Amino acid sequence: MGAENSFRADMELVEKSLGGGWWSQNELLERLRCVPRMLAAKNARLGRVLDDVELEDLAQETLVSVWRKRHQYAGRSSLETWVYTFCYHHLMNRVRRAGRRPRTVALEEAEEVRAEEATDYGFVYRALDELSPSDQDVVRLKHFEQMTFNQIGELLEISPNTAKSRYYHGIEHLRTILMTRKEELEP
Amino acid sequence: MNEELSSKARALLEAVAVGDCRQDEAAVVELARRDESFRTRLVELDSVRRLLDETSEEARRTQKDARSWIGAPGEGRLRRSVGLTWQRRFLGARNQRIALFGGLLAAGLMFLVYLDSQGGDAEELQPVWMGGEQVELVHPRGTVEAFEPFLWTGDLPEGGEYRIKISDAAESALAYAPLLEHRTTEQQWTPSTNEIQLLPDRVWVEVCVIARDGRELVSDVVLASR
Repeated sequence: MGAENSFRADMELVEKSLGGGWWSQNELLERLRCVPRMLAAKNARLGRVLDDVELEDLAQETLVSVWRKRHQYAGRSSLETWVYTFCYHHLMNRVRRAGRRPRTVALEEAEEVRAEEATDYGFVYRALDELSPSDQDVVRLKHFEQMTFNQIGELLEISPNTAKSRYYHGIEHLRTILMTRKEELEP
Repeated sequence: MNEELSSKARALLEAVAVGDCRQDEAAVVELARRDESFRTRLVELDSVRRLLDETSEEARRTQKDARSWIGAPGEGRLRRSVGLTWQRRFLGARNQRIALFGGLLAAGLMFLVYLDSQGGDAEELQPVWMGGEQVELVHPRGTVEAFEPFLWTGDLPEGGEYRIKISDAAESALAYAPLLEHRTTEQQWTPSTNEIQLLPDRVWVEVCVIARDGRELVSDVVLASR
């Protein structure tokens, strides 16, 4: 199934669940098992900063948040990619709030943990949220779904040249946002 | 700055950014050598693209790892979190009839209120909220000595208010009948001692910003234990 059809199927699933049918809600919930799994995977990459009890609570809180906002899913990415942003924000907020640092890990994991610890990509997601929806769609599809401009054009029903133009506009805007933040951080 | 770049420079930047032109092509190299603004912009745009690549790569890697995390903490409680239990499936039909009856009754009452309001002053236009879009529960979160006081941060639109709902953690966070519910324009609330004592030791706490017209704008839902 091509990405376009796959996103459409995800969108239909979400729309059906919003209709209130028990079976469609149940089917969506099965897909959302990715929430606790993504949280656990990311937590492991961070050196298990949260214990299992904390992760269990976080999984429930994140799921409730996704469930309440599922009407905002626009079928512009896979459901999992859309859900991942929630998981990332919830986990990083929890880690920041608790003021935790990654724990000691096995030597073979250490390099990976250090790299993960060094970068919190929250500022990238926040900057992306500031773009216009049309620019944001193209930038996300290009990088997060690794689509070509032809594929993006087909999905969004625009020409490949329009997709390129929106992409350039989007990353140019991102550059401005990120440069301004950098200046704020380094007076 | 944009105005410092010629139209040729802008066209080349766009061509490089979308992959129609490589950075080592003669025209790009030559312009970068002569024009410092172009050179700087080229480097900055490249940094943005690399940052997006890193961010998306990190997301893809975690999603891939997640496939092997079958039975992750919290996976067994998903159904209960959103109230999608088998009991609801079988009680659903009866509840739907009750909801339909209640809905019809409410619609009738609203119609009477509407008739009563005709002839009065023209309805005031609702302001559009342009404020912040965050609300965050500060206390309680996680395990705490005591639930009270309930504290949160956030921005209120004009005429808006905060709604705080407390539900049993053994039930769904989206319960229609919370154990406690309170509306306020303050950023804290302390229920009565009696109300606090009646709460279970593990609860869902939801704080939500409600617009003047009753719309839910933003919310934060957390689990808390004492």
